[in-house]
Amino acid sequence: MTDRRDDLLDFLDGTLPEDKQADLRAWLDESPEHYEQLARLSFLHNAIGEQLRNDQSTALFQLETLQSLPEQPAADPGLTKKKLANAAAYLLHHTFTPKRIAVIAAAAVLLGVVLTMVLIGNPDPDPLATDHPNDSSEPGPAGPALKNPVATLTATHNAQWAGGPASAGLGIGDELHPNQTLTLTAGFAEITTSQGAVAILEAPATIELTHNNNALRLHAGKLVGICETDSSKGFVVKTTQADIVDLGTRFGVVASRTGTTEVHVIEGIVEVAPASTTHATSAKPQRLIAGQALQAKGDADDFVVIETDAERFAAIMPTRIELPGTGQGLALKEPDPNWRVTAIDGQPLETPGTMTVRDAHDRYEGPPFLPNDPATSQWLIIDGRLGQSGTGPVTFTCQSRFEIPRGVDASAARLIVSFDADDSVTAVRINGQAVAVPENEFEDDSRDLHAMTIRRHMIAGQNTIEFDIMDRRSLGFANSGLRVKLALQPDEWRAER
Amino acid sequence: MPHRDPQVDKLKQLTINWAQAQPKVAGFVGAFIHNYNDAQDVVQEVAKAAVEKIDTYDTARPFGPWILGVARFKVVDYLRKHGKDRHVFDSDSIGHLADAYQQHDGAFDDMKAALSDCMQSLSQRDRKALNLRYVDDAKPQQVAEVLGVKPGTARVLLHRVRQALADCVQRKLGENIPGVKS
Repeated sequence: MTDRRDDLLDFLDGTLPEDKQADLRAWLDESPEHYEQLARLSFLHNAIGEQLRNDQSTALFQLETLQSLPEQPAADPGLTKKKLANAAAYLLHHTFTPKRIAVIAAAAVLLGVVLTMVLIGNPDPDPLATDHPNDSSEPGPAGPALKNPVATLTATHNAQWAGGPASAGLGIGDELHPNQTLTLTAGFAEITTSQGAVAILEAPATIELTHNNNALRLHAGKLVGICETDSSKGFVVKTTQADIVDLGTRFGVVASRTGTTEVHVIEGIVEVAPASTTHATSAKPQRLIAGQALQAKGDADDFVVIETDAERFAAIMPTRIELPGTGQGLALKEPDPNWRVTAIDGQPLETPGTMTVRDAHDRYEGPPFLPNDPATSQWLIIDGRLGQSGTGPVTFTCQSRFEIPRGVDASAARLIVSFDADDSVTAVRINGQAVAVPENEFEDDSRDLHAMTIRRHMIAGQNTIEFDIMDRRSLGFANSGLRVKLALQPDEWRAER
Repeated sequence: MPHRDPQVDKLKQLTINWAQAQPKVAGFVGAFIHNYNDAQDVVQEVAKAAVEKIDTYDTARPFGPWILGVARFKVVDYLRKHGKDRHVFDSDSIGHLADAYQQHDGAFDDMKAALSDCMQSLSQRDRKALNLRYVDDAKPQQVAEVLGVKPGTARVLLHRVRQALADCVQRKLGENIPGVKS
């Protein structure tokens, strides 16, 4: 019998090439026993992950879940049937092993008591129906906070929250977790997902975080979705009627409590698909480009094309000033006048080194770099004469300058930075001041730039930005590359603290 | 007499049934959705659908096939929405795997218990490699960097550790497991 264990494991890891997938599929179709092998191995694959993750956190989750359920449900006017359904779903989702049956059974009894008390007090033929559209009870911070945050509250302006002390105390920089529900009753708020996508809410609006670290549910209200960086592409806004996938763009969404969702594309492309809910339309997925808009209704057979109305989002759509990216508009092997190497291992160079546009295919080993885009940014290579003496890691400091235009408040502005480097960026400085750098390491198969947002140390007029690039010289000589995209976001209300 | 509502009883039973079925549902979903976060989202969708569709579940029938039917629909739906439904693994293959899960429903609980014991004997290096792969969701290149080996070596190491666990599970169960036999 052919040994397919390696192929099966590669498939489960998501690393099996497509041609080998076809071969594996043909082998699976030969016999039900082969599917049985995949079933057993996929079960084991998942069980290993659960076992390792559970070692760290599951017991805590269970305790938090049980403690979060209300002790006096009948006296709690905010305890709606929808919340109970959500609590049940949450509880179901976070129960793992047969060994914890005793805990689950206890939770089930508690949940049963809760439901029973509510049902006695408020008989209803459909106990799991969703909240009435005009239900005045606020969802609040439904669901206990999990260990891993999926987003951060990154800015507010005159924001007021509903839903009790946990929401009322929300502050800029607070981490947001799966199942957390936020209701904004006044002002504006900005949430940034772990992948770097930005959602700006205008009150009144209610959102819920999901387990996906680049998605959220918009229960009602208006938001603007922004993917400034490659890593944030694929950001999903889920409403009752539609799933909106941002493919690198800016778009607006309005979800009403009367059962409609509107999507307006301001820039780029989004994909709109019917939501996987009982209220979803049967419409086929559609791609929208800038200037297009559509409406999704739960009881309609298809999406309806409507006129774009960008003005509806003007209050929350941030303006953006594009700054020159590395190698922007230059030909291959042309030096970039905006970038130069100013130091090696912290020692300033008497004569700064040049950085020239390199071919993305110009690798000594491995596949090409992320392809160049002359319109926005290209890979730059460091002067090959630099950093060649010695062995082991060497660090190049690469410097550029950018201008904050007159009329833009530098203390309120944000610099949106997308970058990648070979081997990695170890430090970034604005005007000599270090800023936090996301973990990054060059990968052969990377197809995204890393994303970061800088909010500090910028001044009016000319600014300096520096990247320290570490090269391990694993080939025996230095061979570094850097690619950067920059954009300035000058909106003033985001400076509020 | 205390008030009893059939709906409440069904939900209580659902909670217990799900605790037993969740690892199988997660394994089934993870076979086709390889991004951990996405797979978790789909498993959560299955849990929510189970609560919403509780009226359609006949408590006289086994829970496993019913919930796998819900999961199968959710996986197909996910692949369709992400434009992957026309790829090599289509709804037919998803159906075949769901059938295989249903056929061998009883064996999984024993496998899970045996696995828990087998993982106690992992070496520090093997556990570190698995943690990188499963907890940190690292790519082979990143696993290789941390372990100080080449990507190909990291892949082989991960395969070897998992196959050793599978063999250990097989030995503990004392049965012939086709998918994990060395």
